[in-house]
Amino acid sequence: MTTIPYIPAVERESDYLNISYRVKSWLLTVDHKRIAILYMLSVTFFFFIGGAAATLMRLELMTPEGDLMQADNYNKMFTLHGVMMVFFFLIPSIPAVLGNFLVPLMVGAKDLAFPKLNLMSWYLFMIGGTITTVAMVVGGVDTGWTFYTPYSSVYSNTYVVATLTGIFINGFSSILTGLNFIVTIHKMRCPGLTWFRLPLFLWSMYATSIIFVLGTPVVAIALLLVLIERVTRIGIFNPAYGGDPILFQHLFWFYSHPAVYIMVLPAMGVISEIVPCFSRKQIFGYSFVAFSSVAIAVISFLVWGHHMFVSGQSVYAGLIFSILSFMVAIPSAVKVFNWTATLYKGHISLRTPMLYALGFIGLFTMGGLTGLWLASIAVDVHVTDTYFIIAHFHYIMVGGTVMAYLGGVHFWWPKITGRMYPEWWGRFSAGFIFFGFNLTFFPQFLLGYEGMPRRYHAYAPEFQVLNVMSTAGASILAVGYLMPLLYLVWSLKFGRPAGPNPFFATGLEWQTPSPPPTENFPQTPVVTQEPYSYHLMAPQGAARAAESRTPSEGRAT
Amino acid sequence: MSDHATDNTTQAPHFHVEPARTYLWIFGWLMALLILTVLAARVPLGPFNIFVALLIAVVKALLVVIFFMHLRHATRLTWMFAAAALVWLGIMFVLTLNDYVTRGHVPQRHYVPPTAIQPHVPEH
Amino acid sequence: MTEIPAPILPGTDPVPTDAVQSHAQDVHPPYLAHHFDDLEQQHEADTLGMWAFLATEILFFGAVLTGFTVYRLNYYHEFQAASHKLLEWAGGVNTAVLLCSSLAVALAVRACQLRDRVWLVRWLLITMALGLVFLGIKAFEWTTEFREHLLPGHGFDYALFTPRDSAGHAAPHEVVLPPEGGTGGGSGGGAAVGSRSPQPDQIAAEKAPLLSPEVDFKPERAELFFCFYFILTGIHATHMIVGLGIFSVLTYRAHKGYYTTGHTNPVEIGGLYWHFVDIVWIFLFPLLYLIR
Repeated sequence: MTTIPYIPAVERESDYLNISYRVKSWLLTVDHKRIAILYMLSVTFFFFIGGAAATLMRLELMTPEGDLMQADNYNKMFTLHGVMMVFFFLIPSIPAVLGNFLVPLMVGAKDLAFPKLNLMSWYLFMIGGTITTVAMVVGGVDTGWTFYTPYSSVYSNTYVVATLTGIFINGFSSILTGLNFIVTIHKMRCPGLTWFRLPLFLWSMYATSIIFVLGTPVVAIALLLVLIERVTRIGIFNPAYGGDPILFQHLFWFYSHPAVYIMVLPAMGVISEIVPCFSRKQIFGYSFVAFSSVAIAVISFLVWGHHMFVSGQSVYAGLIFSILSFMVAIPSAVKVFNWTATLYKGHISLRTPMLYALGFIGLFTMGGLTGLWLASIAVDVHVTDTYFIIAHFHYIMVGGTVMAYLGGVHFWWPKITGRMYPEWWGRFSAGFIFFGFNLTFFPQFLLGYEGMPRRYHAYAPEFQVLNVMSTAGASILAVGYLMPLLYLVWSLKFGRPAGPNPFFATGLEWQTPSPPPTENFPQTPVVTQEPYSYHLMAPQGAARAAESRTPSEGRAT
Repeated sequence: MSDHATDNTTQAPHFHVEPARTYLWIFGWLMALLILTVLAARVPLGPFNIFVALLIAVVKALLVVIFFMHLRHATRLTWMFAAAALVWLGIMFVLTLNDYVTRGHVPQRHYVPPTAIQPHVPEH
Repeated sequence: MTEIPAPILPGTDPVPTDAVQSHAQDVHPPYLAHHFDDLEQQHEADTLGMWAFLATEILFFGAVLTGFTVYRLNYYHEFQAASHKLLEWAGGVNTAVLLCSSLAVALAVRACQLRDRVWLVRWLLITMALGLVFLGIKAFEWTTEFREHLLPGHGFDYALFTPRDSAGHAAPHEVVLPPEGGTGGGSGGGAAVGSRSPQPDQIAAEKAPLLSPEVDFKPERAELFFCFYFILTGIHATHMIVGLGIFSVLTYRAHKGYYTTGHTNPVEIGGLYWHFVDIVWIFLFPLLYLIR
């Protein structure tokens, strides 16, 4: 076990947290760091709402009969779970929390390009989230988070309009955040920070923002058209009036497939920061990882039809989408190989963020490989709308994104709060979550392959054993998620004060005090070294590594 | 007529001021193309009507973008943003229409049950 | 730890401290936001930001147009018949109005760059006036279409699009409604099902298209055209109204003199938005009005 020597806390100067304690200073802030905290509180709230729905669903699924709730209510539960988790947790989590906090710090700027727009993004998120939550609470929606027509647009008797309004407003929050990141990364890099000296987290943020900006408007329109059809009783997607329900699916999945890369690309960015730090090694193949982020963002727009193999789209189109779906796996695999090569012969330390990162690499790989099986039309026809699909995407979203989010929160917790989390609780929770996750979702692969359909509240009795295992795992997972909530809040008051760089990591964000002052850097930093220069750092335990600084010739373009 | 707005009192960024004549000239072309659009719609070209109409619309849009929106003097990065939007629009159109245009195109195979197949007896 | 030298602003040399104040005023005018290093960075960031936003708008309209294209390809005859019902002259005049307004915006930006406050305000007002003319003609069109029962929904007059044979008699047509409303199943012959099928006494033979019997022509597909027509022009009009709102603020602030001290960004990026709304209409006009 390695010990980090205790570094005395920086003098209690004004930082972004203590500069003002007034509520108005928080609700009207334009400081990206405070907005990130606001997002952190909001997404945590929505996460637990979605988690509560999942708990009820897994309780229902412990027994084959539909005894806990009726079918309609179960439909509302999985819709609530999906809508909350996808739109109000997974999509905003890493970009809006860690991205908002870190992007200006990592580029060496004082704030994002458009700070007021950033605040508006949070308010749009809250307005959308509130409308949707209220709609769910007063009666719910039973269409599934995918809102397939014509059920959602014509036949459903639930609060579809209110929910869609909330999601529509939320979409603009995403768009503005993505826009902000793109312009910031292009235009506000500090002197010496060329594109290939950027931390890989920023490459991921950039790629994610491309998806935000180019994909979200299309789903906004898809949902708006459903809303219009529902309110005015016209027939855009209604076959009775000449409409095509599959058109909705095209427009919906044009965004929603890249959306899953919105969820996973930032997670990959977090892993690319954690793995080199806790292997004390430069990342292997920096430019490959950087380019693969952009490649994933681009190719992700070409594959949406693999959600529609059995919908009625033409077989020829299915073939094209299948081939393209195989291609999108390549850049993801490149990243996994590079992380693994970074670990090889590194000086590994199993701190909490590293445990989450290692868990990510394994679970994401499994999720990704099962995705390849699903890209093959023949397999997909067999397992479509079964628990195999559910297991596949939960391996990536939960085993991937949520673990990376937690890993990132732990990694940057000292920077955000100025306090260290309790290490042993962190490690224990990470292991607990890993175990609970696998117990929950691995049986679901088997269930799906054997034919248990998804979105059913009752099932054939032969599936019960695996379902009970899955529910047991879910209860462990729930406890596992509560633990960080508790000890992280505990650490705000009682955690060990952290210095500027408790993990001896590279990156500009670690060169400023913890927590940072409002303007981020006392003076504009200048970058002269390659990123992840762990090989140039003094061995751990020696004096704090310092980047040499020289004036540059001009701002990097 | 000044082409560059430079000011000695403040270090404002230099930008290119377009002569008013250029704007009027482009406007004239835009109106001419509008009249052409309407006239072309009256000429029966069958399925090519839409292509002609869209082509003229594209030319008009390019004139507005390049001259009125100053893309002519903008950085290459701005060009790339504009181009990327169009490419993504193209992706959406092409891959969606790829479905609709090819429905029913995969030929149906005629299933021949095994009993109907006669073994081939080579001639001696 | 090595001493961090004072930052050197790009393109400048270190100046003695007594000249710092006036130098700072020159390089840091009041309209330079605190998080930007200099005006050029702010200008480039603002412009890029607006172009990124316009990219989202291109995809926004593009999604509706994708749907429109799919249906137009499949229901060409119905869409053609429906397009004939639109007021082509109104669409054409509106296109001309918007092109004029684009010219006015371009000249407004130019006046702003040349610090001509009077003409800046004038061109902005002219732009807004032309925008209001556009919306006025649009309102006229919509009320006309409403009166002609072309609004999709309950008031839609299917008889306008019910094909007739050479004798002028309308072919019997049944809209197949969902199971709760009717029998479902095949079309042709039989009594009308549900409240939205055309009744025999609603047939206006002189308005319906004449088609040979083997052409598959269904009136509800023409209604689909009008769905897209109203949605597309509605979303476009919404963008116009937002644009008018933005321009009112710009005009007011221009009148106050905010934009004639070198701070041209807001007018420029407002202009970009307006031009984009114009370009959308440039495409909507032939796509909607000129289907021949």
